Amino acid sequence: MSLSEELFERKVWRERIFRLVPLGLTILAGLALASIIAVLVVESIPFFSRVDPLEFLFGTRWTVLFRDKSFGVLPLVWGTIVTSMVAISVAGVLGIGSAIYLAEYSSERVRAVAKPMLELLAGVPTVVYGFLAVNYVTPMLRALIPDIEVYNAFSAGLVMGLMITPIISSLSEDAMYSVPDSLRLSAYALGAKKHQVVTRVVLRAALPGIVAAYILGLARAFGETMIVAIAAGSRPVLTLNIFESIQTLTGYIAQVAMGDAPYGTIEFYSLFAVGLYLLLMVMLMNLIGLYISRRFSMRVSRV
Amino acid sequence: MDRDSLMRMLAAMALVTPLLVLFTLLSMILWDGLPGLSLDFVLGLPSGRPEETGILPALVGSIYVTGLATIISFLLGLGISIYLTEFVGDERVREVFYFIVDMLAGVPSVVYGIVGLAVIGIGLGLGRSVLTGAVTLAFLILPLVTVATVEAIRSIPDSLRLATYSLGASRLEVVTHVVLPMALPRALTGTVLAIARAIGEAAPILVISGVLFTRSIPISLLDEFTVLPLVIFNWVMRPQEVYIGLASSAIIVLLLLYIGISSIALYMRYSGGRRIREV
Repeated sequence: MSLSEELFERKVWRERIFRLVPLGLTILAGLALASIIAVLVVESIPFFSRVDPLEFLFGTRWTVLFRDKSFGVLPLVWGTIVTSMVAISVAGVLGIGSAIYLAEYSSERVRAVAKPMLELLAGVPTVVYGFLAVNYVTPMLRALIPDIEVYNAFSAGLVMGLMITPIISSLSEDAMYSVPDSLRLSAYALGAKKHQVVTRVVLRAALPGIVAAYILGLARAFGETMIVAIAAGSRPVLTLNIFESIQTLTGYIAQVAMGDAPYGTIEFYSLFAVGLYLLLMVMLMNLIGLYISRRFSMRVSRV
Repeated sequence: MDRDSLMRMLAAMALVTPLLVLFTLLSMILWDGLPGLSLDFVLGLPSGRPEETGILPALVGSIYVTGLATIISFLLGLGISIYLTEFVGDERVREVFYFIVDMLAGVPSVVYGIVGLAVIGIGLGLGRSVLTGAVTLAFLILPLVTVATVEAIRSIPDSLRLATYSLGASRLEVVTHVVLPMALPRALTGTVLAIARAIGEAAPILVISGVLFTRSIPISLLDEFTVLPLVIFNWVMRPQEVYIGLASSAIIVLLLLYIGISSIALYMRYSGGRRIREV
Protein backbone atom coordinates (compact mmCIF):
# COMPACT_ATOMS: atom_id res chain seq x y z
CA MET A 1 0.00 0.00 0.00
CA SER A 2 1.40 3.39 -0.90
CA LEU A 3 1.83 6.11 1.65
CA SER A 4 -1.03 8.22 0.34
CA GLU A 5 -3.39 5.24 0.40
CA GLU A 6 -2.37 4.53 3.97
CA LEU A 7 -3.04 8.11 4.97
CA PHE A 8 -6.40 7.95 3.26
CA GLU A 9 -7.26 4.72 5.07
CA ARG A 10 -6.34 6.30 8.37
CA LYS A 11 -8.53 9.28 7.60
CA VAL A 12 -11.47 7.04 6.77
CA TRP A 13 -11.09 5.20 10.07
CA ARG A 14 -10.91 8.44 11.99
CA GLU A 15 -14.14 9.49 10.31
CA ARG A 16 -15.82 6.23 11.26
CA ILE A 17 -14.81 6.52 14.89
CA PHE A 18 -15.75 10.16 14.89
CA ARG A 19 -19.22 9.24 13.75
CA LEU A 20 -19.72 6.74 16.57
CA VAL A 21 -18.94 9.03 19.50
CA PRO A 22 -21.69 11.62 18.99
CA LEU A 23 -24.11 8.85 18.03
CA GLY A 24 -23.39 7.04 21.30
CA LEU A 25 -23.85 10.19 23.36
CA THR A 26 -27.14 10.95 21.64
CA ILE A 27 -28.45 7.46 22.34
CA LEU A 28 -27.36 7.86 25.96
CA ALA A 29 -29.37 11.06 26.36
CA GLY A 30 -32.36 9.51 24.62
CA LEU A 31 -32.17 6.61 27.03
CA ALA A 32 -31.99 9.00 29.99
CA LEU A 33 -35.66 9.89 29.66
CA ALA A 34 -36.76 6.27 29.29
CA SER A 35 -34.59 5.17 32.19
CA ILE A 36 -35.88 7.89 34.52
CA ILE A 37 -39.38 6.50 34.10
CA ALA A 38 -38.23 2.86 34.14
CA VAL A 39 -36.19 3.30 37.34
CA LEU A 40 -39.08 4.94 39.15
CA VAL A 41 -41.47 2.20 38.05
CA VAL A 42 -39.13 -0.65 38.98
CA GLU A 43 -38.15 0.86 42.33
CA SER A 44 -41.77 1.46 43.31
CA ILE A 45 -42.63 -2.23 42.83
CA PRO A 46 -41.55 -3.08 46.41
CA PHE A 47 -43.78 -0.25 47.63
CA PHE A 48 -46.81 -1.41 45.69
CA SER A 49 -46.27 -5.02 46.71
CA ARG A 50 -46.94 -3.91 50.28
CA VAL A 51 -49.43 -1.13 49.59
CA ASP A 52 -52.64 -1.51 47.63
CA PRO A 53 -52.37 0.90 44.66
CA LEU A 54 -56.01 1.85 45.18
CA GLU A 55 -55.29 2.84 48.78
CA PHE A 56 -52.30 4.88 47.52
CA LEU A 57 -54.30 6.70 44.85
CA PHE A 58 -57.49 7.38 46.77
CA GLY A 59 -56.59 7.17 50.46
CA THR A 60 -56.95 10.37 52.44
CA ARG A 61 -54.36 9.76 55.17
CA TRP A 62 -50.60 9.88 54.60
CA THR A 63 -48.71 8.76 57.70
CA VAL A 64 -45.82 6.78 56.23
CA LEU A 65 -43.29 8.23 58.67
CA PHE A 66 -45.33 7.25 61.74
CA ARG A 67 -45.69 3.89 63.41
CA ASP A 68 -49.35 3.57 62.46
CA LYS A 69 -48.93 3.81 58.70
CA SER A 70 -51.50 4.91 56.12
CA PHE A 71 -50.57 5.31 52.48
CA GLY A 72 -53.15 7.61 50.92
CA VAL A 73 -51.35 10.12 48.71
CA LEU A 74 -54.24 12.56 48.31
CA PRO A 75 -53.18 14.95 51.13
CA LEU A 76 -49.79 15.41 49.44
CA VAL A 77 -51.43 15.94 46.05
CA TRP A 78 -53.78 18.46 47.59
CA GLY A 79 -50.85 20.33 49.17
CA THR A 80 -49.13 20.47 45.80
CA ILE A 81 -52.27 21.73 44.07
CA VAL A 82 -52.95 24.43 46.68
CA THR A 83 -49.43 25.92 46.68
CA SER A 84 -49.23 25.77 42.89
CA MET A 85 -52.60 27.46 42.48
CA VAL A 86 -51.54 30.35 44.70
CA ALA A 87 -48.32 30.58 42.70
CA ILE A 88 -50.03 30.53 39.32
CA SER A 89 -52.55 33.17 40.39
CA VAL A 90 -49.70 35.53 41.26
CA ALA A 91 -47.50 34.63 38.32
CA GLY A 92 -50.43 34.59 35.91
CA VAL A 93 -51.28 38.24 36.56
CA LEU A 94 -47.71 39.53 36.88
CA GLY A 95 -46.36 37.39 34.07
CA ILE A 96 -48.95 38.36 31.49
CA GLY A 97 -48.83 42.02 32.50
CA SER A 98 -45.08 42.22 32.16
CA ALA A 99 -45.24 40.30 28.88
CA ILE A 100 -47.77 42.83 27.52
CA TYR A 101 -45.51 45.66 28.58
CA LEU A 102 -42.38 44.12 27.07
CA ALA A 103 -44.00 43.02 23.82
CA GLU A 104 -46.29 45.97 23.13
CA TYR A 105 -45.19 49.07 25.03
CA SER A 106 -41.58 49.07 26.12
CA SER A 107 -38.73 50.84 24.37
CA GLU A 108 -35.74 48.81 23.26
CA ARG A 109 -33.69 50.23 26.12
CA VAL A 110 -36.16 49.16 28.82
CA ARG A 111 -36.36 45.73 27.23
CA ALA A 112 -32.60 45.34 27.19
CA VAL A 113 -32.49 45.99 30.95
CA ALA A 114 -35.70 44.30 32.07
CA LYS A 115 -35.28 40.99 30.23
CA PRO A 116 -31.94 40.02 31.81
CA MET A 117 -33.25 41.14 35.20
CA LEU A 118 -36.29 38.87 34.88
CA GLU A 119 -34.01 36.08 33.76
CA LEU A 120 -31.86 36.64 36.84
CA LEU A 121 -35.00 36.56 38.98
CA ALA A 122 -35.96 33.14 37.60
CA GLY A 123 -32.63 31.60 38.48
CA VAL A 124 -32.25 32.77 42.07
CA PRO A 125 -31.61 29.60 44.07
CA THR A 126 -34.87 28.28 45.44
CA VAL A 127 -33.56 27.93 49.00
CA VAL A 128 -33.29 31.71 48.93
CA TYR A 129 -36.95 32.00 47.94
CA GLY A 130 -37.86 29.62 50.74
CA PHE A 131 -35.93 31.73 53.23
CA LEU A 132 -37.69 34.89 52.01
CA ALA A 133 -41.08 33.22 52.45
CA VAL A 134 -40.60 31.96 55.97
CA ASN A 135 -38.54 34.86 57.34
CA TYR A 136 -40.05 37.97 55.77
CA VAL A 137 -43.29 37.19 53.93
CA THR A 138 -45.04 35.19 56.65
CA PRO A 139 -44.22 37.69 59.45
CA MET A 140 -45.46 40.56 57.24
CA LEU A 141 -48.66 38.68 56.41
CA ARG A 142 -49.27 38.13 60.11
CA ALA A 143 -50.15 41.82 60.39
CA LEU A 144 -53.05 41.24 57.99
CA ILE A 145 -53.95 37.66 58.89
CA PRO A 146 -53.27 37.09 62.60
CA ASP A 147 -54.13 33.37 62.43
CA ILE A 148 -51.55 32.53 59.80
CA GLU A 149 -49.27 29.66 60.82
CA VAL A 150 -45.47 29.88 60.73
CA TYR A 151 -45.42 27.34 57.93
CA ASN A 152 -48.30 27.77 55.49
CA ALA A 153 -49.32 27.12 51.92
CA PHE A 154 -50.04 30.78 51.13
CA SER A 155 -46.59 32.28 51.78
CA ALA A 156 -44.88 29.44 49.96
CA GLY A 157 -47.25 29.90 47.00
CA LEU A 158 -46.80 33.67 46.89
CA VAL A 159 -43.03 33.41 46.72
CA MET A 160 -43.19 30.56 44.25
CA GLY A 161 -45.38 32.83 42.12
CA LEU A 162 -42.59 35.38 42.11
CA MET A 163 -40.22 32.67 40.96
CA ILE A 164 -42.33 31.48 38.01
CA THR A 165 -43.41 34.97 36.89
CA PRO A 166 -40.37 35.28 34.57
CA ILE A 167 -41.11 31.91 32.98
CA ILE A 168 -44.70 32.84 32.19
CA SER A 169 -43.67 36.32 31.13
CA SER A 170 -41.02 35.13 28.72
CA LEU A 171 -43.17 32.38 27.16
CA SER A 172 -46.19 34.69 26.79
CA GLU A 173 -44.02 37.41 25.32
CA ASP A 174 -42.72 34.97 22.72
CA ALA A 175 -46.33 34.14 21.85
CA MET A 176 -47.28 37.84 21.53
CA TYR A 177 -44.13 38.59 19.60
CA SER A 178 -44.99 35.98 17.01
CA VAL A 179 -48.38 37.57 16.32
CA PRO A 180 -47.86 39.02 12.84
CA ASP A 181 -47.77 42.82 12.63
CA SER A 182 -50.26 42.71 9.77
CA LEU A 183 -52.96 41.81 12.31
CA ARG A 184 -52.10 44.79 14.52
CA LEU A 185 -51.95 47.15 11.57
CA SER A 186 -55.30 45.96 10.20
CA ALA A 187 -56.88 46.63 13.58
CA TYR A 188 -55.39 50.11 13.70
CA ALA A 189 -56.61 50.72 10.17
CA LEU A 190 -60.13 49.96 11.38
CA GLY A 191 -59.72 52.69 13.97
CA ALA A 192 -58.89 50.59 17.01
CA LYS A 193 -57.07 52.13 19.96
CA LYS A 194 -53.90 50.60 21.34
CA HIS A 195 -55.60 48.94 24.31
CA GLN A 196 -58.18 47.45 21.97
CA VAL A 197 -55.45 46.10 19.71
CA VAL A 198 -53.69 44.57 22.70
CA THR A 199 -56.71 42.94 24.31
CA ARG A 200 -58.79 42.03 21.27
CA VAL A 201 -56.15 41.20 18.69
CA VAL A 202 -52.78 40.40 20.24
CA LEU A 203 -53.97 38.63 23.38
CA ARG A 204 -56.59 36.71 21.43
CA ALA A 205 -54.16 35.60 18.73
CA ALA A 206 -51.54 34.71 21.32
CA LEU A 207 -54.02 32.91 23.59
CA PRO A 208 -52.88 29.33 22.87
CA GLY A 209 -49.28 30.34 23.56
CA ILE A 210 -50.32 32.04 26.78
CA VAL A 211 -52.32 29.00 27.89
CA ALA A 212 -49.26 26.85 27.16
CA ALA A 213 -47.14 29.24 29.23
CA TYR A 214 -49.54 28.87 32.17
CA ILE A 215 -49.48 25.09 31.94
CA LEU A 216 -45.69 24.94 31.72
CA GLY A 217 -45.43 27.38 34.65
CA LEU A 218 -47.84 25.24 36.65
CA ALA A 219 -45.71 22.18 35.91
CA ARG A 220 -42.70 24.05 37.25
CA ALA A 221 -44.61 24.90 40.43
CA PHE A 222 -45.64 21.26 40.90
CA GLY A 223 -42.03 20.13 40.82
CA GLU A 224 -40.58 22.93 42.95
CA THR A 225 -39.13 21.45 46.13
CA MET A 226 -37.10 23.72 48.36
CA ILE A 227 -39.60 26.58 48.73
CA VAL A 228 -42.35 24.26 49.93
CA ALA A 229 -39.99 22.14 52.01
CA ILE A 230 -38.92 25.28 53.89
CA ALA A 231 -42.06 27.40 54.00
CA ALA A 232 -45.17 25.23 53.52
CA GLY A 233 -44.73 22.86 56.45
CA SER A 234 -44.68 19.10 56.81
CA ARG A 235 -48.23 18.24 57.80
CA PRO A 236 -50.06 16.25 55.11
CA VAL A 237 -53.68 17.27 55.67
CA LEU A 238 -56.65 17.87 53.43
CA THR A 239 -57.53 21.40 54.46
CA LEU A 240 -59.27 24.24 52.69
CA ASN A 241 -57.47 26.80 54.83
CA ILE A 242 -54.51 28.07 52.83
CA PHE A 243 -53.04 29.77 55.90
CA GLU A 244 -52.40 26.42 57.55
CA SER A 245 -49.40 24.18 57.31
CA ILE A 246 -49.60 21.45 54.64
CA GLN A 247 -47.24 19.13 52.83
CA THR A 248 -46.63 18.70 49.11
CA LEU A 249 -45.39 15.68 47.14
CA THR A 250 -41.96 17.30 46.80
CA GLY A 251 -41.99 18.42 50.43
CA TYR A 252 -42.47 14.81 51.50
CA ILE A 253 -39.54 13.68 49.35
CA ALA A 254 -37.35 16.35 50.97
CA GLN A 255 -38.48 15.31 54.44
CA VAL A 256 -37.57 11.66 53.80
CA ALA A 257 -34.23 12.69 52.29
CA MET A 258 -33.43 14.72 55.42
CA GLY A 259 -34.33 11.86 57.73
CA ASP A 260 -32.02 9.32 56.07
CA ALA A 261 -34.48 6.48 55.41
CA PRO A 262 -32.47 3.22 55.35
CA TYR A 263 -32.34 1.27 52.10
CA GLY A 264 -35.02 -1.41 51.88
CA THR A 265 -37.57 0.16 54.24
CA ILE A 266 -41.06 1.15 53.14
CA GLU A 267 -40.15 4.79 53.81
CA PHE A 268 -37.29 4.49 51.34
CA TYR A 269 -39.43 2.92 48.63
CA SER A 270 -42.17 5.48 49.18
CA LEU A 271 -39.72 8.02 47.67
CA PHE A 272 -40.02 6.28 44.33
CA ALA A 273 -43.78 5.88 44.45
CA VAL A 274 -44.25 9.57 45.25
CA GLY A 275 -41.57 10.53 42.73
CA LEU A 276 -43.30 8.50 40.02
CA TYR A 277 -46.66 10.09 40.80
CA LEU A 278 -45.11 13.55 40.64
CA LEU A 279 -43.25 12.82 37.42
CA LEU A 280 -46.33 11.48 35.64
CA MET A 281 -48.39 14.53 36.62
CA VAL A 282 -45.68 16.98 35.57
CA MET A 283 -44.97 15.16 32.32
CA LEU A 284 -48.65 15.13 31.42
CA MET A 285 -48.81 18.90 31.92
CA ASN A 286 -45.65 19.44 29.91
CA LEU A 287 -47.02 17.29 27.11
CA ILE A 288 -50.23 19.31 26.98
CA GLY A 289 -48.29 22.58 27.15
CA LEU A 290 -45.88 21.59 24.40
CA TYR A 291 -48.71 20.27 22.23
CA ILE A 292 -50.62 23.54 22.48
CA SER A 293 -47.58 25.70 21.81
CA ARG A 294 -46.54 23.60 18.79
CA ARG A 295 -49.98 23.71 17.21
CA PHE A 296 -50.02 27.41 17.82
CA SER A 297 -46.67 28.08 16.17
CA MET A 298 -47.89 26.20 13.10
CA ARG A 299 -50.96 28.40 12.89
CA VAL A 300 -48.94 31.58 13.01
CA SER A 301 -46.62 30.49 10.24
CA ARG A 302 -49.65 29.94 8.02
CA VAL A 303 -50.89 33.49 8.50
CA MET B 1 -57.32 58.56 32.90
CA ASP B 2 -58.15 57.09 29.53
CA ARG B 3 -58.04 53.38 28.94
CA ASP B 4 -54.88 53.46 26.89
CA SER B 5 -52.70 54.91 29.59
CA LEU B 6 -54.43 52.78 32.23
CA MET B 7 -53.50 49.64 30.32
CA ARG B 8 -49.97 50.85 29.86
CA MET B 9 -49.64 51.66 33.56
CA LEU B 10 -51.02 48.30 34.72
CA ALA B 11 -48.64 46.43 32.41
CA ALA B 12 -45.69 48.47 33.62
CA MET B 13 -46.67 47.77 37.23
CA ALA B 14 -46.77 44.05 36.51
CA LEU B 15 -43.22 44.28 35.23
CA VAL B 16 -41.90 46.43 38.07
CA THR B 17 -43.68 44.70 40.98
CA PRO B 18 -41.85 41.36 41.01
CA LEU B 19 -38.48 43.06 40.54
CA LEU B 20 -39.21 45.59 43.28
CA VAL B 21 -40.52 43.00 45.74
CA LEU B 22 -37.54 40.78 45.19
CA PHE B 23 -35.02 43.59 45.55
CA THR B 24 -36.70 44.71 48.76
CA LEU B 25 -36.56 41.21 50.19
CA LEU B 26 -32.98 40.72 49.06
CA SER B 27 -31.90 43.96 50.71
CA MET B 28 -33.46 42.66 53.92
CA ILE B 29 -31.19 39.64 53.58
CA LEU B 30 -28.22 42.01 53.23
CA TRP B 31 -29.35 43.79 56.39
CA ASP B 32 -29.55 40.50 58.31
CA GLY B 33 -26.51 38.84 56.81
CA LEU B 34 -23.80 41.43 56.25
CA PRO B 35 -22.86 41.85 59.94
CA GLY B 36 -22.02 38.15 60.20
CA LEU B 37 -20.12 37.97 56.94
CA SER B 38 -16.36 37.70 57.42
CA LEU B 39 -13.41 35.88 55.96
CA ASP B 40 -13.50 33.53 58.94
CA PHE B 41 -17.09 32.66 58.07
CA VAL B 42 -16.37 31.97 54.39
CA LEU B 43 -13.10 30.09 54.94
CA GLY B 44 -13.85 28.52 58.33
CA LEU B 45 -14.94 25.02 59.28
CA PRO B 46 -18.42 24.42 60.70
CA SER B 47 -18.70 24.38 64.44
CA GLY B 48 -21.36 23.46 66.94
CA ARG B 49 -21.10 27.00 68.27
CA PRO B 50 -22.95 29.26 65.83
CA GLU B 51 -20.71 32.28 66.40
CA GLU B 52 -17.59 30.37 65.28
CA THR B 53 -19.04 28.43 62.40
CA GLY B 54 -17.90 28.56 58.77
CA ILE B 55 -19.00 27.31 55.38
CA LEU B 56 -15.76 26.18 53.73
CA PRO B 57 -16.63 22.47 53.23
CA ALA B 58 -19.96 23.39 51.64
CA LEU B 59 -18.35 26.05 49.45
CA VAL B 60 -15.72 23.58 48.25
CA GLY B 61 -18.44 20.95 47.75
CA SER B 62 -20.55 23.34 45.66
CA ILE B 63 -17.66 24.35 43.42
CA TYR B 64 -16.38 20.77 43.13
CA VAL B 65 -19.72 19.20 42.21
CA THR B 66 -20.86 22.02 39.95
CA GLY B 67 -17.51 22.19 38.16
CA LEU B 68 -17.45 18.47 37.51
CA ALA B 69 -21.10 18.46 36.41
CA THR B 70 -20.40 21.29 33.99
CA ILE B 71 -17.50 19.48 32.33
CA ILE B 72 -19.49 16.23 31.97
CA SER B 73 -22.57 18.03 30.72
CA PHE B 74 -20.66 20.20 28.26
CA LEU B 75 -18.89 17.22 26.67
CA LEU B 76 -22.16 15.27 26.46
CA GLY B 77 -24.05 18.24 25.09
CA LEU B 78 -21.38 19.00 22.54
CA GLY B 79 -21.39 15.40 21.26
CA ILE B 80 -25.16 15.34 21.02
CA SER B 81 -25.44 18.64 19.21
CA ILE B 82 -22.72 17.72 16.74
CA TYR B 83 -24.59 14.53 15.97
CA LEU B 84 -27.94 16.30 15.60
CA THR B 85 -26.68 19.13 13.42
CA GLU B 86 -23.90 17.54 11.37
CA PHE B 87 -24.93 13.90 10.98
CA VAL B 88 -28.70 13.62 11.13
CA GLY B 89 -30.20 14.26 7.73
CA ASP B 90 -33.76 13.30 8.60
CA GLU B 91 -35.70 16.21 10.06
CA ARG B 92 -38.06 13.82 11.86
CA VAL B 93 -35.24 12.23 13.88
CA ARG B 94 -34.17 15.68 14.95
CA GLU B 95 -37.73 16.61 15.92
CA VAL B 96 -38.04 13.49 18.06
CA PHE B 97 -34.82 14.33 19.81
CA TYR B 98 -35.78 17.94 20.47
CA PHE B 99 -38.97 16.59 21.97
CA ILE B 100 -36.97 14.31 24.28
CA VAL B 101 -34.83 17.27 25.34
CA ASP B 102 -37.97 19.32 26.05
CA MET B 103 -39.38 16.53 28.20
CA LEU B 104 -36.08 16.08 30.04
CA ALA B 105 -36.04 19.80 30.76
CA GLY B 106 -39.47 19.45 32.38
CA VAL B 107 -38.53 16.66 34.80
CA PRO B 108 -38.52 18.13 38.34
CA SER B 109 -35.01 18.42 39.74
CA VAL B 110 -35.91 16.40 42.83
CA VAL B 111 -36.81 13.47 40.56
CA TYR B 112 -33.32 13.62 39.05
CA GLY B 113 -32.06 13.29 42.61
CA ILE B 114 -34.12 10.18 43.33
CA VAL B 115 -33.14 8.50 40.05
CA GLY B 116 -29.48 9.52 40.46
CA LEU B 117 -29.38 8.02 43.93
CA ALA B 118 -31.00 4.77 42.75
CA VAL B 119 -29.00 4.31 39.53
CA ILE B 120 -25.58 5.82 40.27
CA GLY B 121 -25.46 5.82 44.06
CA ILE B 122 -26.95 2.39 44.75
CA GLY B 123 -27.00 0.66 41.34
CA LEU B 124 -23.41 1.47 40.34
CA GLY B 125 -22.30 1.47 43.96
CA LEU B 126 -20.82 4.97 43.97
CA GLY B 127 -22.70 5.87 47.14
CA ARG B 128 -23.68 9.36 48.24
CA SER B 129 -20.49 10.73 46.73
CA VAL B 130 -19.28 13.79 44.86
CA LEU B 131 -19.27 11.75 41.65
CA THR B 132 -22.90 10.66 42.06
CA GLY B 133 -23.92 14.25 42.69
CA ALA B 134 -21.92 15.57 39.74
CA VAL B 135 -23.25 13.05 37.21
CA THR B 136 -26.82 13.67 38.37
CA LEU B 137 -26.41 17.44 38.11
CA ALA B 138 -24.81 16.96 34.69
CA PHE B 139 -27.96 15.24 33.40
CA LEU B 140 -30.11 17.86 35.11
CA ILE B 141 -28.47 20.72 33.17
CA LEU B 142 -27.97 18.70 29.98
CA PRO B 143 -31.14 20.06 28.30
CA LEU B 144 -29.99 23.66 28.88
CA VAL B 145 -26.51 22.93 27.58
CA THR B 146 -27.74 20.94 24.57
CA VAL B 147 -30.27 23.55 23.46
CA ALA B 148 -27.63 26.30 23.73
CA THR B 149 -25.06 24.27 21.79
CA VAL B 150 -27.49 23.22 19.06
CA GLU B 151 -28.57 26.83 18.58
CA ALA B 152 -24.94 27.94 18.46
CA ILE B 153 -24.06 25.40 15.79
CA ARG B 154 -27.20 26.09 13.77
CA SER B 155 -26.39 29.79 13.64
CA ILE B 156 -23.29 29.05 11.56
CA PRO B 157 -24.05 29.74 7.90
CA ASP B 158 -24.10 26.63 5.74
CA SER B 159 -22.01 28.38 3.11
CA LEU B 160 -18.97 28.08 5.38
CA ARG B 161 -19.44 24.33 5.78
CA LEU B 162 -19.90 23.87 2.06
CA ALA B 163 -16.87 26.01 1.27
CA THR B 164 -14.75 23.85 3.56
CA TYR B 165 -16.09 20.61 2.12
CA SER B 166 -15.35 21.88 -1.36
CA LEU B 167 -11.72 22.28 -0.38
CA GLY B 168 -11.63 18.55 0.27
CA ALA B 169 -12.08 18.59 4.04
CA SER B 170 -13.57 15.56 5.74
CA ARG B 171 -16.48 15.82 8.15
CA LEU B 172 -14.13 15.56 11.13
CA GLU B 173 -12.09 18.44 9.77
CA VAL B 174 -15.15 20.56 9.10
CA VAL B 175 -16.35 20.00 12.64
CA THR B 176 -13.03 20.63 14.38
CA HIS B 177 -11.82 23.50 12.19
CA VAL B 178 -15.01 25.36 11.30
CA VAL B 179 -18.06 24.36 13.32
CA LEU B 180 -16.55 24.11 16.80
CA PRO B 181 -14.39 27.26 16.79
CA MET B 182 -17.31 29.32 15.54
CA ALA B 183 -19.97 27.81 17.77
CA LEU B 184 -17.90 27.77 20.94
CA PRO B 185 -18.56 31.30 22.24
CA ARG B 186 -22.34 30.91 22.12
CA ALA B 187 -22.24 27.33 23.34
CA LEU B 188 -20.13 28.41 26.30
CA THR B 189 -22.54 31.23 27.10
CA GLY B 190 -25.36 28.73 27.46
CA THR B 191 -23.16 26.48 29.53
CA VAL B 192 -22.23 29.27 31.92
CA LEU B 193 -25.93 30.04 32.39
CA ALA B 194 -26.39 26.36 33.24
CA ILE B 195 -23.61 26.61 35.85
CA ALA B 196 -25.49 29.49 37.48
CA ARG B 197 -28.52 27.25 37.66
CA ALA B 198 -26.59 24.26 39.00
CA ILE B 199 -24.80 26.13 41.78
CA GLY B 200 -28.11 26.92 43.44
CA GLU B 201 -29.69 23.46 43.09
CA ALA B 202 -30.57 22.03 46.47
CA ALA B 203 -33.31 19.43 45.98
CA PRO B 204 -31.41 16.74 44.02
CA ILE B 205 -28.33 17.15 46.20
CA LEU B 206 -30.49 16.85 49.31
CA VAL B 207 -31.73 13.47 48.11
CA ILE B 208 -28.31 12.28 46.98
CA SER B 209 -26.01 13.56 49.69
CA GLY B 210 -28.38 13.96 52.61
CA VAL B 211 -25.48 15.61 54.46
CA LEU B 212 -26.47 18.94 55.98
CA PHE B 213 -23.50 19.35 58.27
CA THR B 214 -19.93 18.13 57.79
CA ARG B 215 -16.50 19.30 58.91
CA SER B 216 -14.60 17.37 56.26
CA ILE B 217 -13.70 18.97 52.95
CA PRO B 218 -14.37 16.65 49.97
CA ILE B 219 -11.18 15.70 48.10
CA SER B 220 -11.70 12.34 46.41
CA LEU B 221 -14.50 11.76 43.91
CA LEU B 222 -15.97 9.21 46.27
CA ASP B 223 -16.05 11.44 49.35
CA GLU B 224 -19.29 12.47 50.97
CA PHE B 225 -20.09 16.13 50.57
CA THR B 226 -22.53 18.91 51.17
CA VAL B 227 -23.23 22.08 49.20
CA LEU B 228 -23.93 25.68 50.12
CA PRO B 229 -27.69 25.56 49.41
CA LEU B 230 -28.02 22.58 51.77
CA VAL B 231 -26.20 24.36 54.59
CA ILE B 232 -28.55 27.30 54.09
CA PHE B 233 -31.51 24.90 54.13
CA ASN B 234 -30.27 23.40 57.39
CA TRP B 235 -29.96 26.81 59.04
CA VAL B 236 -33.28 28.09 57.72
CA MET B 237 -35.05 25.11 59.25
CA ARG B 238 -33.76 25.93 62.76
CA PRO B 239 -35.96 28.05 64.98
CA GLN B 240 -33.24 29.92 66.93
CA GLU B 241 -32.68 33.58 66.07
CA VAL B 242 -28.90 33.21 65.55
CA TYR B 243 -29.40 30.91 62.55
CA ILE B 244 -31.33 33.58 60.66
CA GLY B 245 -28.14 35.63 60.61
CA LEU B 246 -26.02 32.67 59.59
CA ALA B 247 -28.46 31.68 56.83
CA SER B 248 -28.52 35.28 55.56
CA SER B 249 -24.72 35.47 55.47
CA ALA B 250 -24.49 32.18 53.59
CA ILE B 251 -27.21 33.35 51.18
CA ILE B 252 -25.17 36.46 50.42
CA VAL B 253 -22.21 34.24 49.48
CA LEU B 254 -24.44 32.01 47.32
CA LEU B 255 -26.04 35.01 45.60
CA LEU B 256 -22.64 36.55 44.91
CA LEU B 257 -21.61 33.30 43.24
CA TYR B 258 -24.89 33.16 41.30
CA ILE B 259 -24.83 36.79 40.17
CA GLY B 260 -21.11 36.57 39.36
CA ILE B 261 -21.56 33.54 37.12
CA SER B 262 -24.71 34.97 35.49
CA SER B 263 -22.97 38.25 34.75
CA ILE B 264 -20.17 36.40 32.99
CA ALA B 265 -22.79 34.67 30.85
CA LEU B 266 -24.62 37.92 30.08
CA TYR B 267 -21.35 39.61 29.19
CA MET B 268 -20.40 36.72 26.93
CA ARG B 269 -23.80 36.84 25.26
CA TYR B 270 -23.34 40.44 24.18
CA SER B 271 -19.68 40.25 23.20
CA GLY B 272 -19.82 36.73 21.69
CA GLY B 273 -23.00 37.30 19.70
CA ARG B 274 -21.49 40.14 17.76
CA ARG B 275 -18.52 38.15 16.58
CA ILE B 276 -20.70 35.61 14.78
CA ARG B 277 -22.78 38.21 13.03
CA GLU B 278 -19.70 39.91 11.58
CA VAL B 279 -18.80 36.82 9.54
